[in-house]
Amino acid sequence: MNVEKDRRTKELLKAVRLKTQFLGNMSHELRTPLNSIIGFSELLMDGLVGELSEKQGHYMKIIHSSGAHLLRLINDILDFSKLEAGMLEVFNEPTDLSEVLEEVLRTYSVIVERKGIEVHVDIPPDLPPMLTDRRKLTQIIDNLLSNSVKFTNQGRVELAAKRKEGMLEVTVTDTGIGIEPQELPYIFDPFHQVDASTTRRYEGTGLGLALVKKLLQIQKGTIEVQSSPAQGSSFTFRLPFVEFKPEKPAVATTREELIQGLPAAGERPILVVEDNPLAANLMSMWLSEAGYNVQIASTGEEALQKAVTLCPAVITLDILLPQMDGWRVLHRLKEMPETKDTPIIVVSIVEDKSFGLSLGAVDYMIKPVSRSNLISKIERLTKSGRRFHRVLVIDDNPADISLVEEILQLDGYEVLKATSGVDGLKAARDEKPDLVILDLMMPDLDGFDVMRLLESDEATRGLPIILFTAKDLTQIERANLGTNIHDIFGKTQLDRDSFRQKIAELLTSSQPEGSNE
Amino acid sequence: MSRILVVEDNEGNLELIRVVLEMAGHEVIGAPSADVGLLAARKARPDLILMDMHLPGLDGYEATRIIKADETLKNIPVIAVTAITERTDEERVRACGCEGFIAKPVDTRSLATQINEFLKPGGKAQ
Repeated sequence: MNVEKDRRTKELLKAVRLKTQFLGNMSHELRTPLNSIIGFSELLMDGLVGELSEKQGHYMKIIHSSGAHLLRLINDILDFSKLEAGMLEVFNEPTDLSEVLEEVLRTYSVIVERKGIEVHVDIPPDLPPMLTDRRKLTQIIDNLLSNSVKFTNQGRVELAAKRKEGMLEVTVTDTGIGIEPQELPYIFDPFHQVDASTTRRYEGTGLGLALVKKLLQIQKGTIEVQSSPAQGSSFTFRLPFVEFKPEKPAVATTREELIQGLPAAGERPILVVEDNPLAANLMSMWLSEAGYNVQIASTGEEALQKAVTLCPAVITLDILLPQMDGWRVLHRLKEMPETKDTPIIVVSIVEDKSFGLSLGAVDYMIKPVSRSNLISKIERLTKSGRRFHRVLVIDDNPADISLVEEILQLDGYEVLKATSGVDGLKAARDEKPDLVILDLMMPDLDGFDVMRLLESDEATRGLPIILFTAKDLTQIERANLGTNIHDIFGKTQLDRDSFRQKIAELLTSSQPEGSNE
Repeated sequence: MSRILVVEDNEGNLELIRVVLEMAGHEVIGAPSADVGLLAARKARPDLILMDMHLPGLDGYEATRIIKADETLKNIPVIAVTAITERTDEERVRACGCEGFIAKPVDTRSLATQINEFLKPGGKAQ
């Protein structure tokens, strides 16, 4: 039974992935030739490659606007398919509504002027920035405004926003052609164009309003419409208004603040995210026997909540979860300051290790997992206190530091940075890192000097060093490297996996300095 | 006048960008693949690289990572030319080391201005 279910889930997942891939490729393949059509017709139209006759200019305009229209269609269809497949993610960020409006209105300034319509905007001047998906909000307003401008030939378009009962309420009103009452129930249906004859007169994709409604739905928003023929229409949408407060609340955000006041890694619970109660119980039993405090979350939402409130030492994460799947949970966990450094092991039947690691998981286990394997992985992450290891990166190039930092953070190390040999030495003495990653070619004090000085100082003698350099070392240079040089990695074509592995090897054998275990 | 390396596998789009940038007074070197692009970058030392991200074989993300890991090339600003439709796309572009991006389809009327922003000393790319 279970085998059959697993097989079908696997197949389903594969199908979803193929569909995503197909959509992505298709949109690229369609956009590429369109890029040429739109671009070259623009050049010709602007007379940059010679004057066109009036007729030629007119035809060129048709080619250009048809290309642009086709592009809009493709974009809308793609968005719509993604929405249907549940593949559009919501990214909330601080958003200033007036900035969004300004951006959208700018696109319509020419056509509004040409048509002689008046545009009126009414936003309370004290409306604070909100946390919402800026891109999607822009898309929603853009679609509504585009309709209003399109269907209004005289009079005005009015855009009013206010904050009401915890929601942002935006109304777009126009004095356009309006909608017949019998059409109103269908206007949010995909590909429904009010009266087929208007399709010709008013170019559109027939997806605009359907998209708007879906975009709102995935963000717990609503939309309604009032309209009378020849009088005009009024669309009102509501979205949860989460005020963005620039001064951070009392939540600890830096690593140091977070770690302080937390029990040692060994005492914090292991959070098992698993919707199958049998599997959850089994893992829980194994881990409890090994002396861990285990907590279980059976949905993605619960996992996110518990990850914040329980401060687990390690999270094991199943991928096939109801509603919010494990990939999304992983992505969110790595986004939130409270949880971004918590080591996460993916435990799943889905074989996509590289994707999991690229999203920030420290390890990936394919089900069924064995008891010993699970325990040893968890032990490595908790007992060694790997999370507390500090790595000092000394490099004069900030881009290289960022690259190394990005890799180190995958494994949850704390990264100390120094952009010169002098700063590096100081940090090595004061911050007591567990490992140094050192560039050789630096102005003033170069890497060789740094190595010698680290070795000559009582406080830093014996500190393991990995060289990270673009320089090809000569035989003599290699021979003269101290015993603390554990490996050399070239900056060009860095093999990330062996780099990570080497670091892990060096660190798991040592107890982290400054950890309270 | 600057020397700009354009890595783009679609002939038409390469030609389009070439014409627009040449009209703005730049020298353009075209490369139809990332491999050729890397070779050209090392030989010709461009002032800026425009990188299509969706390339056959080695893609633009990988190519940019290689450029940014190369001591001799890493200071050349790499601008991604790509259809950014979601926040994740933008993050991916930034994560591989690009200094910025230009949205596809390219706007022939503003391309030169956008490029100049990145070429200015102390401009966006710095």
